[in-house]
Amino acid sequence: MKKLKIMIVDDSTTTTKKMAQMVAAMGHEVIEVAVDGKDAIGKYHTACPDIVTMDITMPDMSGVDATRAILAEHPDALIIIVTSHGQENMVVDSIEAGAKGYILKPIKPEIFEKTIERVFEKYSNVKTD
Amino acid sequence: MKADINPIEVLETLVGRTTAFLQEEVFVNVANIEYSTEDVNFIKLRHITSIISVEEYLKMTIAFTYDLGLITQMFESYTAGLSIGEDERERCLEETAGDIINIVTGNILSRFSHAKTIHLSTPVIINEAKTVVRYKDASFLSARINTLHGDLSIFLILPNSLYTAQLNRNAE
Repeated sequence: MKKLKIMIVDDSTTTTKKMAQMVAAMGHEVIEVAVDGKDAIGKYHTACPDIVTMDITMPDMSGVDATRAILAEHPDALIIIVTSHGQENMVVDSIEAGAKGYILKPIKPEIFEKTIERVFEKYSNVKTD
Repeated sequence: MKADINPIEVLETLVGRTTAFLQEEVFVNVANIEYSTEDVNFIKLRHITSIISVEEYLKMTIAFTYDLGLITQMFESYTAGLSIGEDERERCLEETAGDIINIVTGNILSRFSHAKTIHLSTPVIINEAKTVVRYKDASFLSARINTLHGDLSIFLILPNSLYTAQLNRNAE
């Protein structure tokens, strides 16, 4: 798989650092970080990531609402929800908002890697290596 | 909170998930667990406390309060291998406390959601010891998790009416 450009959206710096460490270990690159939904919407356009990882519970704007807003402007965006919530309704809400994947915290590196690969291979229009 | 949700069951589920998190994610072994379901008039906060509100029909406040030794050990394990500057350390330690209550509480909610979505507030951190006095319409339930590094107490703060109703149901 090619080296993917990842944008991490989470209001916890510590969680962001942990995820960045996992992304680097996969051989991909974190090109942008956002601390809440509004920040993510503002940064997506200039960052143009291959994949966005999106927390749900954030101040000001939830990750589900940010997912909808990003997809309204960028329908090809690939967004993976990363959250502690395992409630079925939340998963359904996330998928209905347009998320392409869902990962539960605490994040297992192998699940994170497989989800990124699966989402990119299934939904990307770009030919993979 | 709906009357058919048992707050004692919520507390027990929280303690179970917290114990598993301590052992599996930050490699802290739990030596002992003590429950207190007696209605107490105040709670004493430890070195650092994270607080989260559970919204909609579950309506309770949950607090995790840690001894310094325990949260420090958890932080070191949780952030192992990460580059954290000295100027970031205190903030990241507080974030660790916030991350953990968010993860543990979020993980257990599916058991109690009953087809309704339950949302969590973003965590609030209190970083000094305090005593919190019960307001007349609130009840506290608590559990203490004892480890070699120090203790973690978990508090549920809920409406007094629900606490009383549940105890009456349990007595039937």
